[in-house]
Amino acid sequence: MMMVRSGLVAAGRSVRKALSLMLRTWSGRIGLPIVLLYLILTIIGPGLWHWLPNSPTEFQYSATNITGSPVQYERLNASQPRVDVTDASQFSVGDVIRIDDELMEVTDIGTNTLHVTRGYEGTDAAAHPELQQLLAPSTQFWLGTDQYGRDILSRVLTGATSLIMTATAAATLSIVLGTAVGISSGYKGGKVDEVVMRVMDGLMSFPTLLLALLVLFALGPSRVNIAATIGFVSMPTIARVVRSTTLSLKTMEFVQSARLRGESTAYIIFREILPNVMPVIGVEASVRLSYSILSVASLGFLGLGIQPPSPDWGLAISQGRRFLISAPWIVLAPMGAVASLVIGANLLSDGIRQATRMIRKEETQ
Amino acid sequence: MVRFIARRIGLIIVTLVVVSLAIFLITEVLPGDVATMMLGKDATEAGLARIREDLGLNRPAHVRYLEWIGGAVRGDFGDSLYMGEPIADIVGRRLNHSAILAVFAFLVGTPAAVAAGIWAGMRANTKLDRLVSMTGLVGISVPEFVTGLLLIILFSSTLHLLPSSSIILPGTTPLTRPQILIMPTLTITAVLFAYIMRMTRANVIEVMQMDYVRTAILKGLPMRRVILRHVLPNAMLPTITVITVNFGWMLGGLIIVENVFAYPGIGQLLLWSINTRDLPLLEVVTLVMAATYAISNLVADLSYAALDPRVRLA
Repeated sequence: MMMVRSGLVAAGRSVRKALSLMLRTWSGRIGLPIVLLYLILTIIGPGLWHWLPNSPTEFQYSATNITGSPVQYERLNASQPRVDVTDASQFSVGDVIRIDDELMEVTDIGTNTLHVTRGYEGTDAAAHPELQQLLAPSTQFWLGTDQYGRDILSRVLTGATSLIMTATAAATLSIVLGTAVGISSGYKGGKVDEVVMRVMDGLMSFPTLLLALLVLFALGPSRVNIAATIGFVSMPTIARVVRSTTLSLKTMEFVQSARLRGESTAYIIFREILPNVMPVIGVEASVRLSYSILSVASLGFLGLGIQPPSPDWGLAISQGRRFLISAPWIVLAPMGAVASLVIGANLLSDGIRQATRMIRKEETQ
Repeated sequence: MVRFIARRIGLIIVTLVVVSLAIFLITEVLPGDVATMMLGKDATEAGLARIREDLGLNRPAHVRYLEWIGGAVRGDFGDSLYMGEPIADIVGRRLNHSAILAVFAFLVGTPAAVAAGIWAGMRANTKLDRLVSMTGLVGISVPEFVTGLLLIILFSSTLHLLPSSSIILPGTTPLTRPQILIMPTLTITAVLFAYIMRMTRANVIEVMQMDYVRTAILKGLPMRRVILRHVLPNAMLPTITVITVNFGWMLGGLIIVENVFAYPGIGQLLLWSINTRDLPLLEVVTLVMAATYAISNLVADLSYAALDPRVRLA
């Protein structure tokens, strides 16, 4: 285990160097902030859920106080008899509020929730308050509401989490698998290498999106299945690159001398080969990440992604395009989000590629 | 050369057999059989039994597989469960639609991309070059469904110039109403253009630093001739690989682009057969896509060898 750690420490040093070089390129300077922004969104996403003024999954209703004074905004939870208001202190228990055509009695008051009984005094309990569907961007709903009357801004913000988590898991899986297969196959060589590489060729001789669609069709879409499928499907590319780097490293003097010193295979792989494969993996990892984001979003668009009601950009775009003419904001917001994320990730990987090229140039000089 | 082609074709056949087995297995391991999938959860036992009888599902799996393969070799893929038409006819028609779209995209995208790549490569690291490269990177990044929907918002719902969905009446081809091809072609081209342009640019920059190019310039050849005779042939080699590799990507891209524009091609057929669980159809569509991909890879290698005398295929 010590060996793995010290190998990774050495790798970490080269990562830090690549990072500082990368910030000298335009691609890196633009790409890194974009990716960081979305990473922050990913991490705080679940917390954001409670903090956002409008919930990403709940339906928005308009409501007024029975006294006639309009309240800034309210939300009627579809399943529970609860109304969310901006300021609950203006209500007291026993108040009767009107939510459109329905009268309700306030039974309990939270900081910004009112617990209510529906069906007050013979009013039609079934009469639903008006759903705030397809509202154009306003001060209340900054990016408007979607066809189900949900706040688009909060859906776009919280949608980052599941997409990026799934894509990162997929990219990580493909890198770990690909590196393991590539290094061991290249280092071992001979018959094993031949067979492993033919299997990789076979996997690559199949369009990846098609393969992913089929596997998800068989397994059913879930976050774990999506990540596993995309990770596995894109593993051969990394295995190939890592293998060819390992093959050339194997003949180098420092590896040969380590072997003559009688070091163990594990030592050679983790201390001698892995740190030197790291730059290649770094470039591949960033390419894989943007590719995974694109794949997860595309699968979502095709309806085989994260299942509703969790917010998903691809699915939102796919379902919102029926309203392209009357309410283009439904698709524009998630479209902008997914496009800017992939552009950022691609710029970042371009920056990393340029940085490794600079390092290589320095080394040869 | 002949041996190389024969071996590769053999490999393609092996791949296709493995693919067909894999798809067959997927349909076997799925929870519930084809009959339950077709009739849904509320199916009666009698209904299920009738469908199993009709489709021959009550016979052992290997018998069914061999029968299916036997039919497939003779060009008989059976009937679609939902369309009640021979699968060979449906797939043939849809494949034709997709091929027209693909050819259009390649004819538009490739020459423009190669020209832009050379143009940018000759001006490496100038402001204009950086602008072109950056645009290319953005082009690669924007997902097809985003580009496609933006085009629809622009050309269909704002300017009212083009139809937003691609209706092809029975008995006609996409060429009867060529305007439906414009937006799908542009969408595919956006990504294609970016890939090929970036690759050409990188290759031109590399070749420009070669000694033989410097010699050609220094001995006073006109720049036009240096580019056409010295730079272009050498820079084109890796580009051709990228072009054919992109063909494989395009198969995936087509699934999305066809979905965005409701274009009745092979990609839409794939999604349709997945959504309706029309398994016989799904099997054939997948095989056809895998075969197209494998053959385009072979063509890539052959054209590479034909253009580069240094590559010897054995």
